Amino acid sequence: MPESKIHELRKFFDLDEYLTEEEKLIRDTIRDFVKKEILPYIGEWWLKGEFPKHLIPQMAELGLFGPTIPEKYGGAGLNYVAYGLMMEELEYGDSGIRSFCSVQSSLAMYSIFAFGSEEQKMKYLPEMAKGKLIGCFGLTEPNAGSDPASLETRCKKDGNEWIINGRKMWITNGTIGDLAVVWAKDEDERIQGFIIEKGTKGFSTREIKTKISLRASDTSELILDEVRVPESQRLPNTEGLKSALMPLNEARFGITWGCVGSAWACFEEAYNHSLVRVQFKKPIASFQITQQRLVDMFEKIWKAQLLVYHLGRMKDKGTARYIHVSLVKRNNTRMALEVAREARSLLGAYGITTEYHSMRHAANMDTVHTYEGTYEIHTLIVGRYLTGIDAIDR
Amino acid sequence: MKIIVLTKRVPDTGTPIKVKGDGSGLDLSSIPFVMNPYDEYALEAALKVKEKKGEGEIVLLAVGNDEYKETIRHGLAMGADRAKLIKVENPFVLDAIQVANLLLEEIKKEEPDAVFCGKKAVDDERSYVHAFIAQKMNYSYLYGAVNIDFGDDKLKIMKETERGLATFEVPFPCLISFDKCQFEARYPSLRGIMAAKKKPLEELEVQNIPENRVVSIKFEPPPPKKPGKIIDLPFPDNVKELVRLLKEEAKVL
Ligand SMILES: Cc1cc2nc3c(=O)[nH]c(=O)nc-3n(C[C@H](O)[C@H](O)[C@H](O)COP(=O)(O)OP(=O)(O)OC[C@H]3O[C@@H](n4cnc5c(N)ncnc54)[C@H](O)[C@@H]3O)c2cc1C
Repeated sequence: MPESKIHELRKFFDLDEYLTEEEKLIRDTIRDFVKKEILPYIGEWWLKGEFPKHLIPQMAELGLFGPTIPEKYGGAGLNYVAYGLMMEELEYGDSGIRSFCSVQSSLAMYSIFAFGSEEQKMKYLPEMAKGKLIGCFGLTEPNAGSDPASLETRCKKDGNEWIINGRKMWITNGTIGDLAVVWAKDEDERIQGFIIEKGTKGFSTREIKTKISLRASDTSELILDEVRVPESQRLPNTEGLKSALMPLNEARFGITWGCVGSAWACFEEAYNHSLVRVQFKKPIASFQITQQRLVDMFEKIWKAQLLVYHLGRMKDKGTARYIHVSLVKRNNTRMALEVAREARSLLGAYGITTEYHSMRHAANMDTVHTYEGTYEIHTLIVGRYLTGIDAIDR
Repeated sequence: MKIIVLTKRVPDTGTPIKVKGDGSGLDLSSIPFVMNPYDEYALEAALKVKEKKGEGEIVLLAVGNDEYKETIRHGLAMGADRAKLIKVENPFVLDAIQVANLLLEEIKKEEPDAVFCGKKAVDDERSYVHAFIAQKMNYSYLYGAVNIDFGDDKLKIMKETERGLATFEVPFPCLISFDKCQFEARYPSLRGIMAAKKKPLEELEVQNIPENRVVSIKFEPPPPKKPGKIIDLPFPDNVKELVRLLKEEAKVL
C-alpha cells in the first residue's frame, strides 16, 4: 500500500498540473534511471568511497551533461525547470551523483560556454556533453574558501604563454577529470580563468580519501607547479572575480532542487517505516509525536518544492536574481539537512546503516550545506540585500 | 521499411491496485501509469531493426484517451518517428475485439511491413488482440520473441522454449509479439524528449464504435491472507506446540 500512497503524497499540491509534458517526461525518465541504476548500489559505492565511473557513458547518452546549453555545442536546450527536475531526481539518488553532474554541466561546461572563445567551445563542449571529457572547477584553495577574492594561485604571462602556480582544494571531479577550469590572479591582481588539460606538465591531483560526507564523489586537491599553457587556454571573455562566481549561481540553482529530491528520499523511507514498525503493539505512526514529525517533514519539503518551482519559472523568464538563488539555497540545504536527520532518527537503529538512505543523505547534506557558499555566507548575501549594509566589507 | 508498434498505457506494476468500494471498477486515481513494459521491448526491437537497416519509419499506434498522449510522447522520445492515437473516452470498457478492430482499420491504411507489440498488456493480460490482427491481415505471425536480428531483408526472431532457444526466420509482412527480451529498452534521452515535442501525433476521432459485447460486471480484491498464528509459550513448549500444529492442523509433517 505505501507505494501508491507515496505517489499520492508526491502529488499533494498537484505540481504535475503546472508542468509541461516534456518536463514531466524528463523527470520520470531520470526517476526511472535513478531507481534502476543507482539506488540498488549506491550504499556500496558510498561505503567504498567511489564515484560510479561506469555510469558516465549512460549518463551522457541520457543527456545529463550540459542540458541547458544550445544543441550546437552538444546540449539539449532544456529550460531551467526541466533542469531542476533532473537535479531533484538525481539527488533523490545521492548528492555525489548530482554533484558530478552539477560540476560537469553548471561549473565546467558553463564556464567554457559563457567565457570561452568559439574555438574553445567547439573543442571542448561537444566532447564534454558526450562524457568523453570530464571537467572540474577549481576556485577554492587551502587559504581561500568563503573568501575567494583572497585566492593565492598566480598566473604570469610569458610571451604567448602563461605560467600558473598554486593549489586548489576540495575540487569535485578533480582526479577523474580530464580538464580543469582554474582561476588564478595575474600580475595586475585580476582574476583569470584557464582550461588546463590533464597531463599538462606540472599539473597533478591528489584525491581526498578521508571524507565522511559525499563519499560517492571524487574530491581532490589540484597542484599547479610551474604549469605552462598557451594563451589559447585562457578564457578570453571573463571579467575578474564576478566571472568566477557566475557559474556558481548556475550550480546553486541545481542544488536548490537537488535538496528537495534528497529530502523526499529520506521522508519516504521514514514514512514507510513508521507504518510498519510496531512498538508497544502499534505501528509507531500511531503515536502523536511520530505524526507530528512526519507532518513537519512533509510541510518543510513541500514549501521547498514550491519554492524551487517558482524560482525555476522565474529563471526561465530571466527574472531570478542571485539573491533569490541565495535565499533558496540557504533555505533548502537547511531543510534537507533537518529532514535527513529527522528521518534517520525515525528509523531508529536501522537508520544508521547504508541499507537505508537517510544517514547517507544526512552525511552528504553537510557538504551541500557548506559548498557553493556556506549557509552563513548566503545569510550575509541576503542580509546585505535587506539592509543595504555589507557585513563582510573587507 | 515501416514498422507499427502497438502501445498501451498501463498502471505501473510496482503499485498495488485498489478496487472501488462498490466493486464497479478499479480506483486508478492516484496510480502512476507507464508504457506497457512488453510494448517497450517491442519498440526497442523496432528501433534496433531501423538502426540496422539504416532507414525506416516507426509509427506508434494506440487506442486511448487524452492521458495516453503522455505514454505516446515517451515512445516518441525513445525514438519512434510519429504516432496515431485512436481517441476513445474510456479505453477501459472496450473489449478485445473492439480494440483489435479499431487498430486493424489504421493498420490497413498504413500498410506497414511489420507490426510489433508486447505479448500481452500487464493490466488486463489480454494476449489475443494481436493474434486477431495477424489473422485478419494474414501476416506471418510469431508470439513471444526474446531477441531479434535483421539481415538480408528478413527478420530473425529468437524465442525461448522449455529446452532452449529457437531461432525463426520471418518474412514480411509480419506481426511479432515480444516477451521480456534479452536486451533492455533504452531510456529516452533528454534530447529525444525535446525532439518528441515536434514529432507528429495524430489524434483520430472515431464515430459510432459498436457496443462492447464483453462487459465487466464486478471487481473484487483477492481475499485477505489469513492471519498468522503466534505461539506465545516459553521455550521448549513453543517448539512442541509448533510441531503439533504442523502435524495436526497444517498436516505438512
Ligand atoms: C565535498 C566538497 C566538494 C567541493 N567541491 C568544490 C569544487 O568543485 N570547486 C571549488 O572551487 N570548491 C569546492 N568545494 C569548496 C567549498 O566551496 C568550500 O568548502 C566553501 O566555499 C567554504 O569554504 P571553507 O571550506 O574554506 O570554509 P571557511 O570559509 O573557512 O568557513 C568556515 C566557517 O566559517 C564561516 N564563515 C566564513 N566567513 C564568514 C563570515 N564572513 N561571517 C560568518 N561566518 C563566516 C563559514 O560559514 C563556515 O561555517 C567543495 C567542498 C566540499 C566539502
